[in-house]
Amino acid sequence: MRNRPESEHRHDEITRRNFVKVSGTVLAGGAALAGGAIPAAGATTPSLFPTLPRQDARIQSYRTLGRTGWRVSDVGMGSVPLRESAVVRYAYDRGINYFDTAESYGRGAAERAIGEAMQHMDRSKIFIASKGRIGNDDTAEQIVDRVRASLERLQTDYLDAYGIHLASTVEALSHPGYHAAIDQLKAEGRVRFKSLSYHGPGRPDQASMADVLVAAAEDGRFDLMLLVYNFLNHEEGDRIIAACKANNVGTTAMKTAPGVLNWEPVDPDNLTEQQERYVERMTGRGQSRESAIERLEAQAQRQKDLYDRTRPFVERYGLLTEEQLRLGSIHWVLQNPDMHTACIGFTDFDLIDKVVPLSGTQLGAAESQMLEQCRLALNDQYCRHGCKACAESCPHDVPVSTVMRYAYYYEGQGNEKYAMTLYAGLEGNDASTCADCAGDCAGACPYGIDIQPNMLQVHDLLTLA
Amino acid sequence: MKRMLPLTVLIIAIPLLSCSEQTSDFPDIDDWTLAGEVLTYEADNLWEYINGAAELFVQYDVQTCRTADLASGDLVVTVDLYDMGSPLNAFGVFKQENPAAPPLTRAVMAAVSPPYQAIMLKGATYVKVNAIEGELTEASGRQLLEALAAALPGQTALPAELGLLPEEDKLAGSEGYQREGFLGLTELPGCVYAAYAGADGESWLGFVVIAPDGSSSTAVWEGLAEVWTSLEEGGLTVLYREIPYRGLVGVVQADDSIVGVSGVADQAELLSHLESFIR
Repeated sequence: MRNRPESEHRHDEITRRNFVKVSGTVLAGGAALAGGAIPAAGATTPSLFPTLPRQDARIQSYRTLGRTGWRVSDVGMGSVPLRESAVVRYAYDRGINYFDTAESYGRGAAERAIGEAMQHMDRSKIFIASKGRIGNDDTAEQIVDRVRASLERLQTDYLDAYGIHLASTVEALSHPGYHAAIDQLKAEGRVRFKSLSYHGPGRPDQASMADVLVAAAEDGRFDLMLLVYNFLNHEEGDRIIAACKANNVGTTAMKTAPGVLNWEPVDPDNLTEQQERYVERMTGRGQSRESAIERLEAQAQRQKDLYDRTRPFVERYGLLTEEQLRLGSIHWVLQNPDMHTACIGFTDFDLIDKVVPLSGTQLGAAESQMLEQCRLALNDQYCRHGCKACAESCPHDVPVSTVMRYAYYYEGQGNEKYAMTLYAGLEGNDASTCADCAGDCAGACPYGIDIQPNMLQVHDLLTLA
Repeated sequence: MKRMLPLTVLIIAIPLLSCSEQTSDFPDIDDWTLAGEVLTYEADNLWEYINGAAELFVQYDVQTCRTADLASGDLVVTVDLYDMGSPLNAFGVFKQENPAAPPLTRAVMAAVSPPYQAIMLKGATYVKVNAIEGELTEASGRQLLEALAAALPGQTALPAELGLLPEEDKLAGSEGYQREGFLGLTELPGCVYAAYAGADGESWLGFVVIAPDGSSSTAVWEGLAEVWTSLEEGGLTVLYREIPYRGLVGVVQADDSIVGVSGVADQAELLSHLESFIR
């Protein structure tokens, strides 16, 4: 008996849902892509994310926070926009012992919420890191006063760390007022360690996150830091973590769950209800309609950029929902043992029940195998956005990946009119020419997509033929 | 760099003012000149301006934040205009940021905290003024807020949804609006709430559910019925559950809305407070 092709094996092994109506091909788009590869609910193969929420779960992994010597939970608690002290207590009872906060979070509300929970926690068993924005001309006396105000809100005698919030230049690391203030407070037993945070430049003239935080790691005065670390932004983070490891500095992560599964295009002639409301609000303030739409388009472009960057991660892990994306992203951060704690913004009990079970876990062999199966199954199903590998094979210059993306707008996002309008704009380059073509594109896709039949079906779809 | 805020808050009255038509993207204020450009942030890039504090505003559906420096004599201030999309959202974020502020009333929607800050609600806009050079006096802060109030759209009034809360036994100034996850419970959507005085001197929370856009109180009720315990009492269906460390929370349907109480120890207390709340 003839051996079946490898691809047939793969397709048998994974129960797939036919999520697009075009030839079974996965069109450009992360959400639809994942939908095609991961078993539908009720299928025999389990989804990877999320793990089941568990109220009895406890933190399973504690890591040494650099030279502080503290063993902190791999899942930490961020506190924006925290408001419920009961949630703090709940996190503590699940084994979370690292709490990150700041005077600016809700203008002190986050610190107050932690403070209200303090009577229910063993102070000696938790690490509290707070921080404040330090102005260039802020004096040591002013900073001491602010730390004392934080201590009052937190209802504690001491802070484990007090840091420079948003240290955006290397020069800021040597702020004389900050160091004088913290040295004084350390001598008084009110602060134990120095720290800082920075999420990267908001303006082009600001230094990169790595420039500042690597310098801080090598500076010698800072014991721990808070940095952006996630699957979308880890190159800089990896550099910083390496510097911290070399200098025995503690690492804590923020913005652990970026990315979006969807974005909404803007069609100026056919705005959605929500977009129309936005434009009305802007015009009500004196802006022109054109200007408001331009702003909307810029916003949509930012979302699209984020969506495009998210897609490979979604593809790799077969994530279907925003919640899965969030939990998968957090799980990704937890895999790095040199990131000592990931600060998650817990505002409700449910999220704690979902994230704590991830503590100390790694992808097991069975899960890894399933991921690989998903990846292989997707590989010849997915037309890569922006890929032009097949372009030279087409004698009619049909922009294949663009056409496939328009089909995704139609099927995957339900933006039929928008997709058809875009497709009509291709005019002489649309896929109508594929009907009489000899099919030079056969085998041109390095990922195995059978281009011509897909083009013909997409043409029918986008022209309602 | 902006200076830290003082702890004391003085309240001033801003007269009821009708909205005026905008002629530019930032209000034109007599005696104040624009120093530099107007920057506008959306929900997805607000963090570039206020870092982690942006999370709170995003949760309350911030639409835009327009910010500019204004100068008048030796005084230079940064004015932030947060368009929150609705007066209720603006009120909610204001209360989250200023929990200790004296009660807002129909005619008092602003506070000046000399020498650094002034804040105000006007319609869907939450206004923050921070002095960056010179000192903001009560008079200069008040004058600026009044001018801004005149230039911004909407009413100078508390959001109408707060009127859903019964007045009897309500503790003044305790009103708030939580846009999602009220009491740390994901199944509870937005709620307006207030503290109420109990007979024994203890206070408890009363709240009214505000169904999210595109939903209805019926849909919210059905969602709660799936996950909360149900009991019948006096012809009423009560849904309730325990909140970790916080006792019970329960809701009933009243007219077209869902009202509830929390912070009670047992079923008897729950029923008693619910009865008084809907009476």
